[in-house]
Amino acid sequence: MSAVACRVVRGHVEALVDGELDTTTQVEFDQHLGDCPICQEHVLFARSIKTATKRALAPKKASEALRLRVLTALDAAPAPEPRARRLPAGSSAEMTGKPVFAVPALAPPTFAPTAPPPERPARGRMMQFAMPAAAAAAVLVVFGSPSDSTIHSDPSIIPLVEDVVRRHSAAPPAEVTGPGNQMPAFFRGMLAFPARPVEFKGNDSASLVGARLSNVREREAAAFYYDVGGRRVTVMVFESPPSGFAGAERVNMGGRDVYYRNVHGYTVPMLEDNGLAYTFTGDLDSGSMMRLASSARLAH
Amino acid sequence: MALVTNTPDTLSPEASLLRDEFAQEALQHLDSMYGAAMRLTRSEADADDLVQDAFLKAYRFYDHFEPGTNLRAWLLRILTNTFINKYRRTTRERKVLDGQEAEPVGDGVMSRATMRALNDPDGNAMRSLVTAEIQKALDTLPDEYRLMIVLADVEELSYKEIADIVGCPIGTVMSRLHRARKQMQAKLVNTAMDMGIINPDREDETGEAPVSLSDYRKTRQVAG
Repeated sequence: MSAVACRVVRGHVEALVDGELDTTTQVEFDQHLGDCPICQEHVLFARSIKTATKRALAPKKASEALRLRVLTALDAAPAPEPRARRLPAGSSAEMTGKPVFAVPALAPPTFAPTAPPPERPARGRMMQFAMPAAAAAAVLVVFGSPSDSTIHSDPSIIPLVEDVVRRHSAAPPAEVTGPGNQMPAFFRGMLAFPARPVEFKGNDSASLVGARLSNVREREAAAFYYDVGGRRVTVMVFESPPSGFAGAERVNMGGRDVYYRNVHGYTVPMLEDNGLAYTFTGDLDSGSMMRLASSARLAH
Repeated sequence: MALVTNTPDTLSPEASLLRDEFAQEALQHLDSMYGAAMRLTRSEADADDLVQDAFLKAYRFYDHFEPGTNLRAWLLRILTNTFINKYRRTTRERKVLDGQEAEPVGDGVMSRATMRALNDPDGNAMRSLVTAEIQKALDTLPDEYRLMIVLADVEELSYKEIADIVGCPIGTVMSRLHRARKQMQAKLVNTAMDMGIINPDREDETGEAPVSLSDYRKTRQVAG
């Protein structure tokens, strides 16, 4: 018998599904759910409503016209009062008050490598995007160009990897648990591609613990949760971007190409197969992550 | 391209930098903002206006944003407040939320048989409740309830983040979200019956006790 009463579990089904329970309670609930098919049914129901709602109401893409409209409005807006934002006089030599708009072929905005001026530590994170005004203005033009159908004009994989890491860190609860062979059925009809969990060859400490419907930026994705020797590993599967893994490093391990990219302290190996991208994010060291990814068997 | 040619000549370099930084960071959340605005206003023209107003306001108060915190949640808060102040029809819905109709609708009326039928993994009944039906169900909810569903289920924000956006305690978020979901579910169950996905007669035969969620309100502790 599990220690938690049905009444308590039923009372917190929504908090459970929303991932708002603390870890101890979560564990107790999981135990109870394993023993109690009726409570399990309640949770499944709440979860399927939430999933269906999310899918049905997923944010629509804003039109290019709206993007242009907002950018234009911002441009015409008076400058906000820049409290506590002071540039030293000498540091703005190449900046002018009058932006030049003629050079749309500049490097993508996200990676302008301007170092943050030390005088503004509070804005350090934001200032990594700082750039001379002229370049920035040109970027605005690129940014709002009608031919630009993606959120960024930047074809690099990096924004996707950043989102993958963010979702691993956030660790939203699994929507489905149980044997891996049942998971494709869970994803059927939800994704435009077959989502199957990967297997790790010869790694007995790795086990599949759950999965959920997810997104990587604007792409739909399947997230598979693994336990590898007590550490969390998230494998995201989504359709490869048209530009492949541009911006990622490539190594050959065991006869296959493994791509990787370091983001926010995570080494994120990536595989591509049949037009699908597989990313591996985990609380393991770089070497272990790379070996883990290279041992992954991608099911067909 | 004559997109940004009306920049005031008086814009200082640092103000110009700030604007570009804002455009760079904030516009990443344009789709989220537009999606939420569409759900809230239920009109494309109003949604566009709301999004523009919210971004302009966010730009004006950008220095109030705490770097390192959730920019999307901050932008959604501004969007929500702008919506509440400007676009919503105030009187009727206020009455609904505070009056008798504030009682959850679906509570205690749905039998396990109904629930199971809706959750049937083989029939995938929930999936048959097509996007349009779910959207319709959402659109009939009062503003505050719609907002809860959008923030919790679409944007997947935490209770704490939603509480910050709406400006109320976490307990209020939970009960409001609960009622919103119950109303949604009641509407979806009706639709499912109309579509023949679940059979209303079956409920009488099962004799199972209705699902009571009344305990929910007595125990509201959550993490954090």
